Amino acid sequence: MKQFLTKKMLRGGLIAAGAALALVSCGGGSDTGSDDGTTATPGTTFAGLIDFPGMEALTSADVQQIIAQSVNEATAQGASASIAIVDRVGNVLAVFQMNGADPNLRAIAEVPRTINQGPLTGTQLLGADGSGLDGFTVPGGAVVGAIAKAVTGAYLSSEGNAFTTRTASQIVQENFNPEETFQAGGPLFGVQFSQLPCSDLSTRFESDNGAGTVVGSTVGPRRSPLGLAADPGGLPIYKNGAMVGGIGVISDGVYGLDLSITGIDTDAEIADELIALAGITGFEAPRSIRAFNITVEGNTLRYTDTADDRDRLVADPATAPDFATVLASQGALAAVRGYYATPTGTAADVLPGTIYGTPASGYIPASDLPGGSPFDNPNAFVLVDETGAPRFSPKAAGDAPGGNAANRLTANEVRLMIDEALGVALAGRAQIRRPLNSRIQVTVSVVDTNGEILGVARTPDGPIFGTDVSLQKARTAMFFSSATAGDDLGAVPAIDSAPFLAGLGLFLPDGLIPDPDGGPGQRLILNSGQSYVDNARAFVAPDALTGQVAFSDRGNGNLSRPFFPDGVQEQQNGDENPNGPFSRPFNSADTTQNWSPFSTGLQFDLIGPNVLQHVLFILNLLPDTPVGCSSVTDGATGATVNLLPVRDGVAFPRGPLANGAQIFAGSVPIYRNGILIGGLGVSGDGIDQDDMISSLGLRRAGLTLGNGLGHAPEAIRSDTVIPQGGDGSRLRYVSCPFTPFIASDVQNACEVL
Amino acid sequence: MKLRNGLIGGMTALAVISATAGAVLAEAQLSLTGTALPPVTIDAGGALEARVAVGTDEVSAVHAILRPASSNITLMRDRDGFWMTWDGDRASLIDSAARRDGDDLVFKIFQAPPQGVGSMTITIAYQTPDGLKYGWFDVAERAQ
Repeated sequence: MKQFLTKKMLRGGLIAAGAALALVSCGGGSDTGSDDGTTATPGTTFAGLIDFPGMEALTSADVQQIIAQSVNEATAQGASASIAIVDRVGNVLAVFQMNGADPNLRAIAEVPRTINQGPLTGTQLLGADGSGLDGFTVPGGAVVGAIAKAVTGAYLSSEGNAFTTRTASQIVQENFNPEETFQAGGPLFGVQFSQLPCSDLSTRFESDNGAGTVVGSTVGPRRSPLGLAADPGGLPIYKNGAMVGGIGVISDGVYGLDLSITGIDTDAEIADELIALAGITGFEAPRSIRAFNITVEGNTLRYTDTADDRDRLVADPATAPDFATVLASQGALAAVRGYYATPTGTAADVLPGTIYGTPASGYIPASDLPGGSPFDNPNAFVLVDETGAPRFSPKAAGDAPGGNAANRLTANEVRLMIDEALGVALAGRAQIRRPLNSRIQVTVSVVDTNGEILGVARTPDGPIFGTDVSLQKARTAMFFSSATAGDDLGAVPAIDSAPFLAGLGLFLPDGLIPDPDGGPGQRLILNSGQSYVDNARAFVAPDALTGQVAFSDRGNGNLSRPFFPDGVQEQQNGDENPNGPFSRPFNSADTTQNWSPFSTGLQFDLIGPNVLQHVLFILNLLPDTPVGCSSVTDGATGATVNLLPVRDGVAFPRGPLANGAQIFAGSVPIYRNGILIGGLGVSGDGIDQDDMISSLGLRRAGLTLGNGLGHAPEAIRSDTVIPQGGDGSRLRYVSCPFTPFIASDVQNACEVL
Repeated sequence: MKLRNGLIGGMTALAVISATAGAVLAEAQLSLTGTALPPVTIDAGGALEARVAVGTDEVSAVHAILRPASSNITLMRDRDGFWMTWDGDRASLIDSAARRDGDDLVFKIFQAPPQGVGSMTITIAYQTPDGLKYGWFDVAERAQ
């Protein structure tokens, strides 16, 4: 294991381009950002018709070619790999395991880190002793990691941006860029815990509910077994310019991340990425939209650690044998429970992808719904089930906010908020899309105070990851603003996986999971919800989590970082700044408690048991994790262990964070006359853009309705809070981009809030 | 929306709630705060009932609610086995059907799941003088 730790520590690379690009020039004109909601400033909303994504899909022959080219490169490198291919919505089209491939997934997220401040200076923390998923080794888990990497390559990308798992690694760490101390955390800090296997939005191909194997949905978007990946070797796949899928490769048995942004991986370290690059030869992302052409917060994003696609390949992809030859001699298609079946064991098991935008994909233009679109904006896309019926059309809430059902959201209010948000998005200038001045593409979700999904819609080409994440954000803003958040969290038990597994007879006698490398038995230890409540009440205020503060996800994110203020590791006196109360500490002497991208704190501890149960399901050891991220199954007794309590099981029989919490910006709580009535979340572009769309969308809907619906009163917004345990810094509420609109010179769009 | 599902023809799948004191999952009774119940697997197109121990509870009405998986649609069952959209308001819940069997209530859920619904969450409830007692469980069709 040590060799992997060393290797991962050295991973890194040069920034592909130089200084950050200024996205726009600052023209003159209005600096007021004013709009009155009903007559928005010209150019700040858009209801024209834009181009929809290309109607392309991978064929079975395409997938076979990609696998053959990958195997050809791996063979030339002397490596044996596990390779997964998915389509744009996460359907697994093939999993191929080469002869001799290491079947295990070592140290899911080992994060070696040398402390460079304070009394522990020089100490290397490995976090491999029970701190979340850090250091966890999954026997037989290589294919699981490959699928997660493929899903990430597909889900983070679109026809306007091509991101890889290396890009993901850059944007989820404690500083952005990684290693640049005193810089705030990655803009997508926490996104790795999305598309979770317990999500009530992401669909299942197959499952096991504890009473037998059951069928799942035939359409996406699919869940990912480990959430999103940050281990280089996951790339998007394009066909004729259309975004059609992703590839994930694991040849080193390690599922980690790139800790250094200043170096370039050695040939050995970059093996996964090279194998994936060779595989997608002929299916590459257009160069103009690759991450290295895109800037965020002044940093150029990373695509791969190659100068071009071919410069570091060992073999010429054109020399790859055909798939039949590969299948006959170099490996086999590998069934993965819950994701991919191999009924014939032949090339016939290699599946074609779905065409995004058709019912088979789970996404269609809303205008294609049998009854027509419920939205005014003609660009709206919606999610549909296998029959083509809408999954999340606007509907009225079933809750009773403030104890009064009259406060609940109506279907028309939900529709209007989504329409207004889509209008703001499409009027806006995208941060992560090329060419410059492309319109923003996102997903918008609205929930009630139970966490029930009241509506989901999106622009045509938003990255798929934003579907699940926008819902996470909406729920998170609602939940942390609610009066019972503290009580609900207080009911979440501390969990040690060992007793749960001890009676199964599948593991070591004490319930520890064997390390296939012969290391000590493994367990997952998660903190109780009450410990985080206590942290918040000590750090923020004694009445924290009782509904006194309206938390946007930006404000909640401030409290979920390993440093407060975000990214600032050190105070002037040399002491380390405290971690946010919802984060694990960065440099605790108790290394089992330390933060890493795979042990973030409350966010992970709420769903860690679900992830572990799901992995054990894949390995055919336990039933699948229940839908809704609200409970897990005790492996020893078969009983259900409740996690986050259900608020009203008649109206919504799931916990209020039924697809997990999200801790980066892009959502606001919804109020009516000062009473919390729901949450609105947006995801898919830069976080400032997501903030702007959610906050202006809500504001405009409220002004149009004129019935008290809108933002929280200013006096209770999270940007009024100065945590008592901090350094005097206030939390944030929303932050909008400068000059955000394509056809308007409005400078400060959030000024009106 | 009103969907016909027919009457229960058999007892091919049961959610049996036994009096297992202290168990997290299988409480003896439905509760005023809601109870998570064991999941059930049915054959493709199969029937579903649910047996609930009510003890001495004075039951004045019963309800059955169906939520297709990965959807925000919620349906409620009437006495005749029709499913119709429910707005989430408890006051608008209509009566469903169940028969007494000793201290148990046997809820009729469906003879076959609604068309296109292979995976769902079922909430069963009965009205008492103290309020609505309810619980929910996941149902899915068995893989062939």
